[in-house]
Amino acid sequence: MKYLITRLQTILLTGLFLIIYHSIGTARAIEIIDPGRVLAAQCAQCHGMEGNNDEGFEGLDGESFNEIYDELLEMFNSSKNDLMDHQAKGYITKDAEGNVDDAVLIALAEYFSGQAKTEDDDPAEEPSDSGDSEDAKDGDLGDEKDEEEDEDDDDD
Amino acid sequence: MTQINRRNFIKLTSASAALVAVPSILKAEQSNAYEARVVVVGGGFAGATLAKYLCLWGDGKIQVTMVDKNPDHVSCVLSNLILNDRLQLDDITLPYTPLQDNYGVTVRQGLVTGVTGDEGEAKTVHLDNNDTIICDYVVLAPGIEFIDIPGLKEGNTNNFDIIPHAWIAGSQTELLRDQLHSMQPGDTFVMTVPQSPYRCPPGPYERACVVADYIARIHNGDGHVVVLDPHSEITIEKETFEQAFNGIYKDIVTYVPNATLTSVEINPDEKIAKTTAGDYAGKVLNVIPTHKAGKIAEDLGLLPGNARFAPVDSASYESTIRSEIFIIGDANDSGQPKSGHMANAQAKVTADALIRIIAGKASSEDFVHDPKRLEKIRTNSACYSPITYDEASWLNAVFAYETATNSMKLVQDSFASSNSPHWSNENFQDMFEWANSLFSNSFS
Repeated sequence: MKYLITRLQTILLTGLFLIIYHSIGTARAIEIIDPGRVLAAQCAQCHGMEGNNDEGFEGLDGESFNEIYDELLEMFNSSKNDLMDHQAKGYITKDAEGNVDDAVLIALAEYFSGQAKTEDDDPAEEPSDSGDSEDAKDGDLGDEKDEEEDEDDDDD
Repeated sequence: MTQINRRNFIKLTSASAALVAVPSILKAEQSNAYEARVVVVGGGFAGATLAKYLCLWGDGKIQVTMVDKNPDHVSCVLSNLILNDRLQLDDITLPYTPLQDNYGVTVRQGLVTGVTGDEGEAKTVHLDNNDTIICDYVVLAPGIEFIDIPGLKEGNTNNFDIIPHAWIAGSQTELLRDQLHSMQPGDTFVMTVPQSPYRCPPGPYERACVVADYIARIHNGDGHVVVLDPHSEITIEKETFEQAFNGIYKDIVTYVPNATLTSVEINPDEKIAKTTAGDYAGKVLNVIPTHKAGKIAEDLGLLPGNARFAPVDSASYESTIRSEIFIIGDANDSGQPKSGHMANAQAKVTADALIRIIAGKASSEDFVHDPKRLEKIRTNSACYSPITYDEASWLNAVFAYETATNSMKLVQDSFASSNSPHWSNENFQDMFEWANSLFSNSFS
């Protein structure tokens, strides 16, 4: 009997957890994502959504922070008359003393390498071993589309 | 009998607390209300991209309706390649079904005739069939309209069926192709460049090259192309087009600067373009009239004074005249090139701005003009222009937000075009990769 009740408790608690988890997962509010997201989207015209391209130029999906950072910096410093080398010069600046401003480059590299964070302290972004937070961070935002069953919310 | 130990007690209490929280969540799920409703007017590169990214980034919580007068979009990008039979209209016709099926955009066919409703209130978008759509924000992506030219277009009447512009792709492009194909050896093709700013800066010069190449191949070079330009010189990729006009096409192309079109005359076997640099007659006359913003922008009073394009806040593309109405793509006066690629880029900035506005509704904070966001706003435009049957040039520019002027400024070092060589077959192949990728990113 005691065993049964403990078991019931576990089932009840698991069930509750799933309900709450599911609700948070589908009913979370629209998120403001770091400017890296819209910046990265400006690469998609040629490199595909979230860098995952099968139509045009090289895909960027799966590249590490350092790969993105180093490649763009190399293009920025290149004196070749190459289209992409000139694109890179739009995302990095250098002042008169030769100091490189790489804030935009870092945001891009962070986003593509899956390190982008939401700006606000969204609960969905808290460390969790669930797959949910990956949606907001990882490179597959482009393909992500929750099959919403009216998952609207006016929370808050 | 049962012993609820301390640990279990804590578990149970937190479960009860959670139970209290559940009903409100469930209630929210049942309310079936979106956080915001957006109507997008126009389904070109700007409108389609905006609709798609708003659905994507809005996580299904923004109701997005896109209205276009056509059932699908015919791309202006690559459309000069219809003229020399490199492509058919089907190749550049982009259906809207992927936007509906993949992202949940509601697509409606119709012409938007008005928008009513004050700031902070729901807006009503009126369609020509008297239908209405209620929404919170309106994004105009209406493309361009042409200014009047005596003999060609006066108000609602025009002779574009005789003198095609072929600058809004579709049946006009096929008409110009058919006229070109009916030319005989020795005939002249006269075309005009619109006054800046206009859609696709290299486009008119690119067209001159495509037509000259056609005459070179089909009529052994026996024919003429006259390019009438209101500007004092070629406005973009100057070296490339000068090299083409004065080099490989020197016996075919005549480039006339400072030639502002004042009127046209239609005679039985020729058409005449009357300009400030003289009259030019041709078997085919292709007038690309000077542009202004699509009609709805003017109807809504978004063009102050004699402005041809709508002033906007470059951080969001919101109208500076009427809030909660945004203008993206060729119709705004943001000072950036009017191109499909740029329209796509602007749409993403507006999608991000709208997400911030909607997500921040309850807060007094301005998430759109957050300095951390502004310093990272970039838009870009890259493009390729066919110069011969199988060679193309390229052009590139990136724009960055400048806080001091609240405007998008060209990053000088990013601005470049192909020059070694000016055109190549490699570029021609890259052109299709670029276009297919742009089509896909905007429409599917």
